[in-house]
Amino acid sequence: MRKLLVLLAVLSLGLLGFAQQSRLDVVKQRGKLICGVNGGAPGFGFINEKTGSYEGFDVDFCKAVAAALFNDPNKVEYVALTAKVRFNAIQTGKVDVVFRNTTVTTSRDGSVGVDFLPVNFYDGQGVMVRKDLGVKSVFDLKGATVCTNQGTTTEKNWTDVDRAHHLGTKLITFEDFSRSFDGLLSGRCDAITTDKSGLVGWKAKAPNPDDLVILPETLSKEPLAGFTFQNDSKWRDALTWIVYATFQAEEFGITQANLSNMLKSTNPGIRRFLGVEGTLGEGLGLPNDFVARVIKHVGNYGEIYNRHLGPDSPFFIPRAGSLNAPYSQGGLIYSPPFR
Amino acid sequence: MKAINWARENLFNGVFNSVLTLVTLAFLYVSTKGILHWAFYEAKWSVVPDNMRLLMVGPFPPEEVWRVWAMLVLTLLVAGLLYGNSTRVRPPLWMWAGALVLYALIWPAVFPSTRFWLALALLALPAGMLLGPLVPRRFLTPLAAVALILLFVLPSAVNPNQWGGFFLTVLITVGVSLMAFPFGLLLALGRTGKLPVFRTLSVLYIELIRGVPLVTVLFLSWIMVPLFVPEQWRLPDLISVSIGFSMFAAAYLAEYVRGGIQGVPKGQYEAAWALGLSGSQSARFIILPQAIRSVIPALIGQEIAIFKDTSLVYILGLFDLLYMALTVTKNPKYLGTDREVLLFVMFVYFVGAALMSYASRRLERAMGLGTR
Repeated sequence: MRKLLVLLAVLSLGLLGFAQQSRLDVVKQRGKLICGVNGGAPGFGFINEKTGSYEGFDVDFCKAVAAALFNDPNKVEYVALTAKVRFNAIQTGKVDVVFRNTTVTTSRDGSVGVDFLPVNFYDGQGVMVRKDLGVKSVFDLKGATVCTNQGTTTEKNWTDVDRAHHLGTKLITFEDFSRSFDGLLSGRCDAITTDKSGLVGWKAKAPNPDDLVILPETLSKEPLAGFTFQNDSKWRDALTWIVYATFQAEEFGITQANLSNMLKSTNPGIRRFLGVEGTLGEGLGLPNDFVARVIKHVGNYGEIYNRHLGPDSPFFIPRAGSLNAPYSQGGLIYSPPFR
Repeated sequence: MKAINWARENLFNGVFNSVLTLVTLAFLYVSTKGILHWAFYEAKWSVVPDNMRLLMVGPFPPEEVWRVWAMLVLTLLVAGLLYGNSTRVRPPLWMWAGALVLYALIWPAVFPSTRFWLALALLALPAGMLLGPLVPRRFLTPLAAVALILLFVLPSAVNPNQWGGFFLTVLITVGVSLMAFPFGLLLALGRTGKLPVFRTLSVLYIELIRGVPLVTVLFLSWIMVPLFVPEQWRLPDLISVSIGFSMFAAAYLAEYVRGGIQGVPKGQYEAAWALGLSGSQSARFIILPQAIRSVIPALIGQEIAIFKDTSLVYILGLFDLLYMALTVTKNPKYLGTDREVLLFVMFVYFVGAALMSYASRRLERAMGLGTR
């Protein structure tokens, strides 16, 4: 019995010793990042048919982390995670960080035992209409027929919006969302409503996607963020500020194209931000020029957004007027100061 | 004329049958018209050849795909060698002709650089058969061993997280079968044997595993197996999941084999005993050969079940054929092509399962099952 206790004590000491090593050091030592992503979320994560590599909005944040750490966005090993196993993957340490369209909630932060990074996409219930309806806002939908699926929070949310703004819409619900979509195409429904990131997928499936418009309003809270281990501040801080760096770069107007000019800027704030002077990165355990590396390889938040969800992509989610706009334009994309 | 007579006799003999024939024809027309129209006019079949590499090997790096080709060539060549050596059969003409036809059919779908490998793969089997009789028998075992080692070495340069598609499906099927079969055999022997410890353990194991859904076993092994190995090893998910899968399959295989063992007449046991064979000798030479021979159909059935059940590994993010196919349809360029891709997957699974059934029938005939 005593032997067993000694063994247990030694083991737990060993575990403690292991726990003290931050994942940041482990990743640096390994020389590549292991990033959990979604293998099949249109616009957020999918596999390119030519190169066999991952692409998408979430994937770009993995690349940003690799760029900051190794000055090479390709030093990432991707692990496709389903919704069921994404938290286990962190709990068992299979991946270093997960960027996989995951909503931040109290229970996930608390009892599931992961720590969230800054929200990088404000998803939420959206509304899609046919372009010929000439509607610009959800509040123009007075007396319209709105379709969605039965017994979901989507249905309840819409009833709340309808009542709050006295829209007097008629709500039709279907068992399956594809019926709502068919209803929209055939004219039975004036508008359909579900999560925005889902709407873009449906929109792209339409015979003529340009005939459909997703309205800018967001009707429910689905803030999506990356997440990582609980109780590893060093690693989480580094990740947090890499995400913030993409926000701040957009605010400064620093892009992949003008980075080389910006590096010569005399503005002390920008010089500090890009690591030309000062030691901002060092305190985080990152290289001082980590921001410049992120911008060079991946770009600022606006560039990431436009690459995958912008007007030229098949999944256009309007950014202006939505929560994903920079805070200076009424959105929620806001970075604390880099100083 | 013959056809008209046949139709008159079988389809239009009497009012009721005539009406029934017409109604059936109308129904067939209505029900297949939409499908045929879709298949020939609306379906975007280009999604399948465009994504062929993803469907076959998943996110495997394109510049490393030759490794998978080499594995295929090696397997076919060695199979041909062994078959040719043991049977002394020269490759029949249809095999060469078939290789030519297949090459003509497939080559537009593959990249120019892989056509070389395609040709090699198609020629490997008949070439192996041709060379087989020339190889001295004592070289065969070392040759097969070298091939086996190469089969392990070839893909190991690529991270298992990047293996996928049909390649992964086949790999899991083969790996699980190889691990599950010996384990299942031991369990069956343990359960039918006289030693109470082994019997109880075997019964407990079999009943426990069979009482749990496969998804649960896969999920548990995904979480649990890494806990049993040192943290810095980072066992690939593929391995931990395959271990769980094998444990599951072994329990079923054990029960099939037990059925076979119990079907061996008591006289055989007594005869073995009378000859003075020990327990293990009688199991090896008398009981198991007869037991396994009689349950081949069930074993192949289990094999086909393993082949199809591999699609469940998708919940753990492993890109088997089905999950890879569903992922392909999430690519912005190929949205809305679920039907085309799923039909292709169905076709691949069907061909795979049909080949196994065919092999099973050949094996049964070769072993004279049901004839003696």
